[in-house]
Order: sequence, then structure tokens, then C-alpha cells
Amino acid sequence: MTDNTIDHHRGHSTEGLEDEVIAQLRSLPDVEVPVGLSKQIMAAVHGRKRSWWRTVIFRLSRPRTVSFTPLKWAPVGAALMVGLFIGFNLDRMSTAPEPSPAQQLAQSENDADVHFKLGRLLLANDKAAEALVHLKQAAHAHPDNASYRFWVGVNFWTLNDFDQEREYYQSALTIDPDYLPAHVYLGHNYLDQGDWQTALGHYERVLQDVPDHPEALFNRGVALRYQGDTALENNAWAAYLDHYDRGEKALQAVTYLNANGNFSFRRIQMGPVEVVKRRISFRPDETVLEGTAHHTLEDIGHLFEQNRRLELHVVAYVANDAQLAKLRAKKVKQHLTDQFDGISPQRIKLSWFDVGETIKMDDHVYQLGSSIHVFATTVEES
Amino acid sequence: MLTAEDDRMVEAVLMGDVEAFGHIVRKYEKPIFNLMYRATGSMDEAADLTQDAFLRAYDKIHTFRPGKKFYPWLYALSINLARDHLRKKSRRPEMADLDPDNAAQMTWSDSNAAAEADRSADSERLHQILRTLSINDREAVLLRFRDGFKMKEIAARLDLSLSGAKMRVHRGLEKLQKAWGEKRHDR
Repeated sequence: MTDNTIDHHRGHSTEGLEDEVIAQLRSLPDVEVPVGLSKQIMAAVHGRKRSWWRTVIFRLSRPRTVSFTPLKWAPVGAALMVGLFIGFNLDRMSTAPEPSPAQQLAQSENDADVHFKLGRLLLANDKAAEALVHLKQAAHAHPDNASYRFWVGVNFWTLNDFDQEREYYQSALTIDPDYLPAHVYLGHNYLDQGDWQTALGHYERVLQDVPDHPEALFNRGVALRYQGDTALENNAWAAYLDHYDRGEKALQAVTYLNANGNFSFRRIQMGPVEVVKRRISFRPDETVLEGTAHHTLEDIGHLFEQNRRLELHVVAYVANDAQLAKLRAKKVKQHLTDQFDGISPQRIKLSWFDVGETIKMDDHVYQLGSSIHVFATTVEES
Repeated sequence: MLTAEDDRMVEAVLMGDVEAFGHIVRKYEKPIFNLMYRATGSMDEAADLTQDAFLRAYDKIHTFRPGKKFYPWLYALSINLARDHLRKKSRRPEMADLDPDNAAQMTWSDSNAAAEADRSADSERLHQILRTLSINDREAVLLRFRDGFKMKEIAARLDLSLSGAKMRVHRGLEKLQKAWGEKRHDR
């Protein structure tokens, strides 16, 4: 039983009704999440901190290299001694008076974690100036904590102090050169300044570890665009579009790519949805689909199969060869109907031309020698 | 839904970074809220259940197996929570189907009718019919036909076997179709 067989289990008399129900399901809207829900959830999460032993067990279970430096372990030894001392004198200590409020305040003032959490909370509540005091205090108390310094940087960004922002990200990277959030945000900082090359370096570093990082992928394209290296820029957009095929950024990326005269990706209107896909390409002068075309047609077929109100138009262009254009259009149709049981041939309309496709983008007119343009329109029920 | 990004976030949470969980919440609150809204029909209840789902996920995140996709895990956990909630909330067991999943149809209130007033008549009709399905049938149909998931993905999200998922989709669509036809005749 394949994904499609569910459609065959129904009698023909109900097919129209089924189409109607599926079409309705396709357009069923989501409700919007109440404003502030995520903050409310996070406030509740903060109220139930994870048990420390789980964190310890998890940390201990992570593979890592440890170099033993005797001096480094001196504090641990001292802590053990203190622990033993406390253990032996527990009875006496339990009768000691409670610390005064002033002492408690003094203790919490030295607790970097408390300041850090308070700072993050204030920052999340748009109280950046108040947050800064606490985040800086946390960073001051633990100068070797990259995350604390990173968040001071974020705090400065919200205060529009971009120089300080940058300094803190840099200091976070001095502590931990592999701290990726700092690389991402430092990339943004340099991008905002117009220092494309440095921004690129940070985004590349992020992509080494996380090849599908959306912001790094997209902003790398932006930086290369401003640098004026069209070939690299196009590669960057293609890399982004290989991962993300819809949404505002994908449409922006393909617009930049196409504006450079590169049509390796195209916008495809599938009824109410616009997606970005690799172009449907054939081997030169043949009717054999290239490998990448199979992926595109698989995605299109999937969308098309789901929305039965759609009618697909396949338009083939081959300059000076109407016969080849016709065969290619038919090939696309055949591929889709062969691969998708739920697509009937009647829903695919073909047309072909013995001229290249003309694409206008702003002031430029591009002429493609051969291409396939597909789009789907919604057919209104009579 | 990016597995690598989710893995990093989960690992950060396990390392003690509570804020990393905030990224998870912001990323998935909408689909989980909508799941809960479809289950209860009330914005308030859906918000409470969404919070409960994320808190449960936070408490149990150590049981999440790295390398697996996070969202199906969260979705399965949420749907179980919704089902438990509906079972507890049921006040009229004599009207219930023997299938506990069908508790959903008893708990749907029309308190949110005003919020839905601006929806199209067809969408509203479909919502009404969806409310009569069991939570698993309803989610299976929506995952298949609205969100375009493959059967094995639906099975993972609903914590069902592949054949169980196919059966849910098949049965859900059949029920919808039947009810849709009847409603059409009623008009």
C-alpha cells in the first residue's frame, strides 16, 4: 500500500465529493497563537528548573577531551576539604543563625547565574537598560563564560550600541572560538556596518558546523551581492534555495538569482502557494530529464496531487524546434502521471513554442534558449 | 523543520540552558496550539494545554533520543496530553463512543463561535465536521491532506504503526466525506 492507495479505496461515485473535501482541508486556516503565549510558557519553564543531577549526568555522558593540570584541580581539592569539614560539623552548623537579608543579598550579588537569568528575563521584557546591569555583572563574575559575554553583546545591540555589541561578541569568541551564536551575531553586526568580507568569514564559520543555518546561508548571499562577486553570490543563493524553497526569504533569494541572469531556480506558482524550485531541465537536444528535474517534479507532483482544484500548465520553449518543445512538454506530463497515481492526465494542459522564453525583470529582458515553465491555476467549480 | 537545529537546541537544554528551550517554544507553539485548539475548541483551553505540553516536553526532554526528529516527538507527546485532557474532562460518558479518542466530540464547545464568524461558511462547516472525529482520525486527515505529510511521517507524529496511520487517514476521510455529503444535502 503506497501513500496514494487510500484514494483508490473509494468508489467512483464519491470521487467528486472526496475532491471537494480534500480541497476544503487544503484551505483550512490555522488560528493565530494568543500574544504572549511563548513568554507565559517560558515563565512557567523558569519556575521548574531542571534537576541538577540530570544536567550533571548529561554533561558527564558527553564525549570530551580533558587535559589534567594539577593546579587546575586545586579548587576541587579545596572544595572537597570544605565539604568534608561541613560534613563533620553539620550538627553544629545547623544551629547557626539564618543569614541576614543583607547577607543573602550579598550572596546573590555574587551569584552570576542569578544575574544572568534576571538579565535575560529583563531583556525579554524589553527592559534592556536594566538587563544590562545584571548581564554585565554575570559576565564580570565569570569572565570565562562565553555565553554571558555573548548576551551582553545582544543587550548592547538592543540599545543600538553596535561597537560595544561587537566587542562583547569578540570577547566571547576569545573565550570559546567555536561559540556559534557569537559568530552568527558578529556576522550580522559586520553586515550592518557594510564590512562584507568579515561578515562572510563569520557566516562561513557557522556553515562549517551547521550547513543549513538559514540566516548564515541567506546573509552570505547578501554579503557576496554587495561585494559584487556574482558567481559566488549565485552559488550562495542556490545553496540557500536548496534548503529553503518557500517563504519571503526564498522568494527574495530567487529574485536576486534571476536578476543576475541565472535561472537555475524558478518561482513556481502552485495555485495559492508559490514555491521556488530548481528548473526543469533536459539533456541538450534530448527529451531525457536531468536528475535535478526529477526532484522538482516530485515536489510539484506532490503539491499538485494534494490540491485537486488545481490545473497544471506545462509550457515548453525550444528556440527553432517546435517538435522538441512538444516532446518535452509531453515528457513532463508523462513523468507526473506515471509517478503520481492521483494525478489524472486531464488536469495537465500542455503548450509549446519554437521560440525561447522571454523573461522580464525590472529593466532587463532575458531570453532563454530552451526552458520549461510550469504553473498551476485554481479551477473554480461550476 | 530542521533536525540539526532542533538537536542543538535540545542539547543546549540538557546542558542547562533554559533559554534554548525558548527557541523551541517559539518555533513550535503555533502548530501545537492549533492541535490543542482543534482538540478543545476553546482558545483558553488550547493555551493552557499548549503550556502543559511544552512543560511536559521540558520535563521529559532527557528521554528524547538524539538523531530522531524532535517535532514528531513533541507532536506525539502533545496529542497524548490532549487525549488525556479530553478523557478527564468528559462529563457524559454515556454519550461516548467506546473509543476513548472520541471524547473530543463531547468536549467541543461553541464558545469560540464569535472568533470563527469571519471564516467562510465552508471552512466553518468543515470545522464542525472535524470536531466530530476522534483526535487521531482528525489529525491524521489534516496531516495528510492539509499539511501534505507522507504516511510514515503521520505514523511517527501520531505514534501509530504505518498501517494504523493509513487506517486513520482512510477512516477519517471517509467520515468527513460522508458528513460533508449529508451537510450539503441539509443546505
